[in-house]
Amino acid sequence: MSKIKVLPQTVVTKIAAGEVIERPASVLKELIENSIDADATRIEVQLEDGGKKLIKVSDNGIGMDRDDVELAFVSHATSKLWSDDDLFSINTLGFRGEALPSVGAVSQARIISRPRGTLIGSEIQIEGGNLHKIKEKGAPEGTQVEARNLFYNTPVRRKFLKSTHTEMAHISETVTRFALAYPKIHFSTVNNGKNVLSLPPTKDLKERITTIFGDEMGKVLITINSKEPNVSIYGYVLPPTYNRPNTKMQFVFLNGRYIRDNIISHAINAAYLNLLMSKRYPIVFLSLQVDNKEVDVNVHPTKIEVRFKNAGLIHDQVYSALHTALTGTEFHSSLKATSLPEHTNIGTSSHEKKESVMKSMSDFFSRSLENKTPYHKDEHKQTYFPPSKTEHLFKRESAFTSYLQIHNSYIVEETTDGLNIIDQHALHEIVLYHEIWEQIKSSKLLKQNLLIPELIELTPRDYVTIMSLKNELDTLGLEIEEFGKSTIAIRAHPQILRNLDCRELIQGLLEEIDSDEIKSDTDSILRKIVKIMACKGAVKSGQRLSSQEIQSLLEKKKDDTITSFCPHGRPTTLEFKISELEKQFKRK
Amino acid sequence: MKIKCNKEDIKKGFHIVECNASGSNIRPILQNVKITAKNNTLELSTTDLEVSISYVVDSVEVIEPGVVVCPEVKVASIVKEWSEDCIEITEENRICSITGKGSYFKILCMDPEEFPAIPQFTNENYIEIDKANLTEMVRKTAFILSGEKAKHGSNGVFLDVNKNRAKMVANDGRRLAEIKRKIDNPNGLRNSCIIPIKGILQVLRMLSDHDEIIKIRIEERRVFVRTEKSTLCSQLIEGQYPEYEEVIPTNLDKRITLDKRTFFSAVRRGSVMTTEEYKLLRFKILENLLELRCTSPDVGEAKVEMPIEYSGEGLEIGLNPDYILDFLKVVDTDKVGLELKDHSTAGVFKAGNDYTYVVMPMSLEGS
Ligand SMILES: Nc1ncnc2c1ncn2[C@@H]1O[C@H](COP(=O)(O)OP(=O)(O)OP(=O)(O)O)[C@@H](O)[C@H]1O
Ligand SMILES: [Mg+2]
Repeated sequence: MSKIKVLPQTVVTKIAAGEVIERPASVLKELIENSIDADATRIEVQLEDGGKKLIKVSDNGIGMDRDDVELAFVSHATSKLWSDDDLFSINTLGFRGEALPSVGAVSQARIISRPRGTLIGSEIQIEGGNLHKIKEKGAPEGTQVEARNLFYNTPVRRKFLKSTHTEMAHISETVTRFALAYPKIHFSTVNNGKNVLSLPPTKDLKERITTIFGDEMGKVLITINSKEPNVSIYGYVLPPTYNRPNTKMQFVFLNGRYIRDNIISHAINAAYLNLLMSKRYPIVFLSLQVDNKEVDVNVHPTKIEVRFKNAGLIHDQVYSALHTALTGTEFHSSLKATSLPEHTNIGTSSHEKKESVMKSMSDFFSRSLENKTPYHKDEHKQTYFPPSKTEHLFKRESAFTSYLQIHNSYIVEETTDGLNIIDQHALHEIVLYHEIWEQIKSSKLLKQNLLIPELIELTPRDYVTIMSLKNELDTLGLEIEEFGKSTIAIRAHPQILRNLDCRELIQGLLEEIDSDEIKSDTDSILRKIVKIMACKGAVKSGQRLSSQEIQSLLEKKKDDTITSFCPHGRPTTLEFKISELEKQFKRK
Repeated sequence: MKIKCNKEDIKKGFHIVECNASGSNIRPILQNVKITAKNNTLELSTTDLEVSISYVVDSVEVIEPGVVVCPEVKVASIVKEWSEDCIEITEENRICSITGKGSYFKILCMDPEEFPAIPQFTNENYIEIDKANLTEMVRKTAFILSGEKAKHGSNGVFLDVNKNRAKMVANDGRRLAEIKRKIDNPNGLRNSCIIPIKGILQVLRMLSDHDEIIKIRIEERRVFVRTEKSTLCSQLIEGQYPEYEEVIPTNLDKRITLDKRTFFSAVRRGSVMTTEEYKLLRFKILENLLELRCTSPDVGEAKVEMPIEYSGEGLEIGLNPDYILDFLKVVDTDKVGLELKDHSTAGVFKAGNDYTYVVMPMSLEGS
């Protein structure tokens, strides 16, 4: 019962064609896709020299009968697509009947397969596109496909293969993507006889993430779950403290297929916008189930890009799913906050982490004991005592208004069950950021006009950059004007930023905004400017604050659910629980 | 060194030179006071290199002249708590001893050579001004700069001397105060300088409680302010003070006179609803009525009315109420004048003779 058929020419022309084999990892991707399409639950990858010498994938899938094996290396022969209508409802990872022939054209390849429930298997070989005769062969149930000496017949391309190390990096990225998309499948990878990645079946994505990336990451995952009629999104994201300089840790799967999609990336980054420093990217694992009619996967030969019928809806759904999850999560749990240095190397055990919490707490307290005056005795003395009765009358919920400023940079605040240490600059920054945005959104932005404009001289190049931001700055209440040769005059600034040093702001803008970015969309450039404004307008570290200033800052911290992280993604608050202190002092 | 003197005199001296140099990260030597004994006087000096201040205690019995440099805070607290009338200070081998009937203190001293040189006042080419006038000038201008953290415009007070008047100006880019007072200028000097806010606030501290004539001498890089017993020398801020007169609007056609107390209370009540993020009070001038309004997005709204004498065209202008209150707090006349033109032109307040306060309005983006 042959299932594979050669596609009619009319269908072939409609398929996005092109080079799919670039390097060992691309061969591996095609082979694993085939195994998954064949319902395998166990996929073994065997490599030699990072795949340059040998790539072999063995599965326990449905297998192929003799006729199928004979057709597998034939161009445009597939069991997954029958007519061009099917192109719009693809349920399998493969559909072009192109992968195996492409592999066969540039390597010495072989298929051995025995269909489930039959007694005898078949074997076929191909060398640089020359098909050998089919043979009977004893084999385990399932399919084994191997490709040796990739590009052996195209020396130029073979020369472009990188070191085994580099090729292995691509290979593990490929395997990781499949492993995340299919947590229930057992994956194992061996290179030159050495086990490199062994992933036994797991019950769900969360468990798989934990096995691949470690317990620590597993513990802080934030669940994403969003269902709409044609689109459901499920997965996990990490709090902004875990971030990366690139988007490699953003895994997005569409109907089981790893994809890269600008619209989805945009939605992800937008959801983290307030929480991350520029050029830092969040870590996400998202699995989208989208009705086949809503998406076209026949766009790119490697099938890594897709086209959504209604991209706007997908964008909004991803954004709001993430946004809701992020705002609903309390990031500043004491453990997370105090073990910051570890976030760079995910995978430390919880035991080590506990140790480090203890250490950072004891460091903190020994430091403040050494410095005999951790707080300003004259000015904050009164506030160091418990709040008076009248204060209770006004703020019922605040049974804790004790605070002190240390090192002119941090505010220590007593809470009901411990204490918070607040980074004054970071907190003020995020508070300002949101307040400016609020004012802009409600068109309530107050602008203080200047009696004497502030003149700032710039280099001609910087001058051009700043003047090209004129409209955006105007919207944000910072009015600038040309004032002769490469000098700008600041005529007004947002009232809320009365501590802003305009020079510093302009300098900040020049440092953080590239001139080519200016043409990008206004919303993101505005947000970026507001971020810089908030940073420059916020109280600095090392700046002495009056008790009113501290109080109003703490008051605002309570108001807002999103003040846990400054716009750069650094935490604003470290929490210490009294119970931890008691342990530390050996009271418990 | 060995001296004897009356406690009250030296106590006053320490009060004036005090804490000029205290603070955190400055050179340790600057936390000392230099005490020089010669010719029946004792001179106390402190400096933080930017501002230095000295005080001369006279009718001192100098038994053995000399110089000591020792921690200012320590000596000052000993002197302040001194219970006897007479105090005796001696220095031998870098140990300064302060001795009384029932107590003594020995303080380790520093090498006087290490103490920075204190600029000396040259008794020529100075102007003279009445203490009350100088106090008033500083008080009515420096407040603009004292609370601010950022340096909008110049972080110093402009002093301009011409013929028989001195002018003092301060601005923070958003508001400006200018005051003119009479001086004695026998040499007919014409000069101006920008005094850092730190120096000018120190002047207020050193002005004594009795009336006296104060000498001011402006040099190229520093200014001296000298009373009978104390001398302050402050570095100057370099550069040109902005041509501020150009920004004071002149053709203001809407003029009202306000009763200071009523106006102060109206502004204060009107601004109850403002917040740090939203400091806007709208001033609406109608026929015989001033209406103050504030609608704060997060808090609520307020409207306060105040009768005035006015019959011209109506006008509404948005101002930061803090700026008005700051001004009214230093005003000591019963009436203040307010002159306006339109919602985007600066408002000009006048109080008494030759005191002008200019405030730039705010505008609401998108309305
Ligand atoms: N591991 C396997 N187990 C069972 N059948 C397989 C396996 N690998 C390939 N086949 C069969 O061989 C056919 C050809 O595979 P090939 O990868 O070339 O094309 P495809 O998967 O249909 O489409 P695409 O080119 O998009 O991958 C498949 O349609 C499938 O029927
Ligand atoms: Mg395939």
